[in-house]
Amino acid sequence: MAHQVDEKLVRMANQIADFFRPYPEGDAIAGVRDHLHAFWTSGMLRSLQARAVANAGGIDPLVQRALSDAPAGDSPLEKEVGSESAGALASDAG
Amino acid sequence: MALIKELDYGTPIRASDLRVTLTIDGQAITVPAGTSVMAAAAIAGTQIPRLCATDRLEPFGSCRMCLVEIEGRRGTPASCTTPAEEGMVVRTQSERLAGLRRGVMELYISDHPLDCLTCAANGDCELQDMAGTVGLRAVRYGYDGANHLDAPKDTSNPYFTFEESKCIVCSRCVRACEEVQGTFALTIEGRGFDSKVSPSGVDFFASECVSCGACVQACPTATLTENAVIERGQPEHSVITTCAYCGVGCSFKAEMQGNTVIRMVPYKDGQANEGHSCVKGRFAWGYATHKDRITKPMIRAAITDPWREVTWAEAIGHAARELKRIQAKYGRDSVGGITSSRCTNEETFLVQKLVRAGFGNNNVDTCARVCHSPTGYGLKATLGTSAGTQDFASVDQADVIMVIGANPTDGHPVFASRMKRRLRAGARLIVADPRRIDLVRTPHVEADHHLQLRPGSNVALLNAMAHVVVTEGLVAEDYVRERCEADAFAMWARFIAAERHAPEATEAATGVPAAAVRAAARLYATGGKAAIYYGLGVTEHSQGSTAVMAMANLAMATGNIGLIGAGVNPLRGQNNVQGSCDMGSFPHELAGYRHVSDEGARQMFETLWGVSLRADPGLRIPNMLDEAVAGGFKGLYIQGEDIAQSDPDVQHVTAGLRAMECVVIQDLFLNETAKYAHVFLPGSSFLEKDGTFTNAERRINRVRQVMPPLPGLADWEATMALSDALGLPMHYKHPSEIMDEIAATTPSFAGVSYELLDRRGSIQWPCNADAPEGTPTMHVGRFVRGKGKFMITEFVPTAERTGPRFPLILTTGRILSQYNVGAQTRRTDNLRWHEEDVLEIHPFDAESRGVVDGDLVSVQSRSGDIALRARVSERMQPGVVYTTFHHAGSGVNVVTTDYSDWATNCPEYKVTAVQVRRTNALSSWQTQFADDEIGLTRIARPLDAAE
Repeated sequence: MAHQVDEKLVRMANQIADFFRPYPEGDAIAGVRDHLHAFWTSGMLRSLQARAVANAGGIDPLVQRALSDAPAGDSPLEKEVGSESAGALASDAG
Repeated sequence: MALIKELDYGTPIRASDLRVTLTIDGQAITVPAGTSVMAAAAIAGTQIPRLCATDRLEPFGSCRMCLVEIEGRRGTPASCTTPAEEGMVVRTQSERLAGLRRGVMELYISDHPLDCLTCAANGDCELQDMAGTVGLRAVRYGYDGANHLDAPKDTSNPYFTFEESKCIVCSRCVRACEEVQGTFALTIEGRGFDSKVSPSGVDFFASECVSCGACVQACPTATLTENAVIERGQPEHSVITTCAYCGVGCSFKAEMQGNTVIRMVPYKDGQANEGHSCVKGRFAWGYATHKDRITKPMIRAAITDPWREVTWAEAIGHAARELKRIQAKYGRDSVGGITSSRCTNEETFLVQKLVRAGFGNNNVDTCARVCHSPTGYGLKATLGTSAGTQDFASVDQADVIMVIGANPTDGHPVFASRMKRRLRAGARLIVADPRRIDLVRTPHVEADHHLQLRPGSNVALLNAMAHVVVTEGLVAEDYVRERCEADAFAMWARFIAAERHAPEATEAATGVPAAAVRAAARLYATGGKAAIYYGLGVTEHSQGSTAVMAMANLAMATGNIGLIGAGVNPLRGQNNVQGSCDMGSFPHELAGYRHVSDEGARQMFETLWGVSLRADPGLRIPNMLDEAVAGGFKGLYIQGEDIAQSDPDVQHVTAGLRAMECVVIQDLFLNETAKYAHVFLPGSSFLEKDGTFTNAERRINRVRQVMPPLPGLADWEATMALSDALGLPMHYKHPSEIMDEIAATTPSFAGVSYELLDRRGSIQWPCNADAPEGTPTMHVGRFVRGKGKFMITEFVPTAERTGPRFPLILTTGRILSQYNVGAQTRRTDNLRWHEEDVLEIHPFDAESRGVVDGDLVSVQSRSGDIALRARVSERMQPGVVYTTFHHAGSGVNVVTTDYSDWATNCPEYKVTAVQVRRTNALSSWQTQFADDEIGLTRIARPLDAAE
């Protein structure tokens, strides 16, 4: 059963990569990384990372790099994680 | 308290910068040019007698009761059709006028039953009032001649009766059906003495009538009367509250006898609906006192056990102990909660607070997950805010209206009526929908373009439209230069100009002829102010968030954000989808859309609540269920949601629920999810609670209690009790205090209070120091995020593919008479319009399968199979079938898959590959459902009752 959950996580992560792929590679990697950290639980991230480390296959290279590389670009999307940008948006709270 | 009666000016008050001053009965009065003499008199405090006039309708001038004398004019003109003019001198009372009015009234009464004392409208009849006003004392003509007193009564509609004998043929009902509702179901049949109101030659139920109630409201006599009034009599007091159905958020007067609702009448001063209603809000409220209501708390050890009624204290104590036990055994993250878009802002705020502060994790989610979560993501990314850009009134100034993935006449009927009014007045219409929805061609409305795309190709279509805008030089360059990020626009423009996005290139994916796409794009870009309205047909896809961004791109590129008449507008499904999102129901966000990792926001709540809060996001609903199936998630508190019917891949949902050790359900009924629950906390209907709902236009409306909560505790009190038992005491004495806390902690609600709402009627957020009166239109002059951001929106086809085994695409939706899972509407007479979910199938697909109308057919997907009756319909395109999910036993979500939006996990309800075959049996799931209806819903009878 855990295996099925992991496969679903891989599918979800690959979908995220599909969205960011048209952007310059560094930005795309940052986009995938930020998205995963903003919306996935630490447990889901750990499961995905374990699959990546184990080379279990099926993981989009963009996701692989988002899990391992330091970001070389900026996410095309407003950064969700951390107080810096969230604080700026807080004045409009929407 | 008394009955609330809005002032009726007789004819609409016109908007004009030009003012005219006239004298009425010696009193000078200044009114906007175009205002009728009748309305001017009403403003001056004089009600001129009338029967065919009401200010919801254009003046008609037929009843001849409102005659006046005007100096310098011959005769006695009708005041309703005579515009006020500068210097005009009007007399509303004279011997001559009194005689004329009395004569007219005498004629009316000579063909009217004289049963006032036993008439249902006694005390609420304009004919009766006018007879009194004009001083009618006798009828000289007798009753022996030809008359209509024996005319038949039409009782076919379950909610109102048409008593033709009492009709004065004023045409108010016919005009209301045309002008207010826009259905044109009624007409005046015959001529002269034979004239009569007719639902076009058939009875009301068989007619085109949509039972909105506008005709009943407009009727000045007892001709059209609510059955509840006929059965119980006139109400004696009323309370203003807000409908709990769709995201339009209509204001109603709950008209009462004591604690009993007699009727719900749309409130003229309601700022979302302006006195209009639909069949659900107007009539389908009887579920609140339906015999299926559960009003006592219940518990059971296993889902196969019968429920046992207990006290509130025992149920709450049991739930708290179980949830604590589970957390002690499986860890802090093994439990979570689900808030409801059907509940109030205050209730939702409390549930997310209980999860974050009481459970100590962020495992809270809401049903917006499965409807409009991509709206929040997509609009925040591009515009900076997770909400629609306009108020509903904005559509009155739209020149071009694009409806994509929405069916407003069914899903948001009151707003649809407003939209149709604008379309009848000349606005152009683009409909993008796989089905031929009613708006494509309806009386006096016809879409300029129906882009009948294949399900799953929204992004390709929107990109193709944007391609036309960019490559044909239709970009609003000054707007984009001033308002949007230059680099992001340049990158997007290069991306979208690529040939792969050209309508000719995308035609294969969308199925829409390139020429039609080009024409629609040109119309959108050049037709004046253009407004996009969209629904779940956009969001419930694997690229739902991308499609929302694509719409925002299109609107920004053409300069259609930040002005009245334009915008990108989500039509929210449930009454409080907007509010439940605003209130911090998502696992990654605190109230006001601040990420849980935002230290400033988190610390503010930590200080206020006296606990430390987690900085990492929690589980979404599908993740909770995945974890439950995997064995790590064991307890769930669900307020007002029915995930076992509404969520996709139901067998996976129920497998998750079965794997849990404590499921706490707070609801009105033993719904499908309750079959897998261990604690049932009886919920309250909207009639039983105080609070607020926030509608699709960000309008915060008050919900006011009209009867005490049937279970004894209101929903917010039950959540407080559970929180107390979990060790997190809450001390609110009234929902207004919860709103005070919301306002104190949520910047966009900073100025909101019950006092302000009571004073203003409603308010649209943001409401704060910068916008103390609220914000009808967003992004005026500047986007919330500063500069608008164009996003790259590559079309990625869904992984759900058709093929030899599953050659058709199933798409699901809703119909007018029913609401969501049907828990409420199925428990009303609305059931008569929709006794079962049926499968709409194109004649071509039906014929190739040997299917005829009414056949039972098997609908099979990779997830499961069900059986439904077929309805052969040309509304569908070949290759696409459609059904609704309003009946639990249909099990439509047995068939839908677990594919979801890449960003938000909003399920892809709109694209499921299926095969359809004739069958003679229900599916195994449906057979099991029938067994579970008994096996999992038993309630142990108390011992004394058993004896």
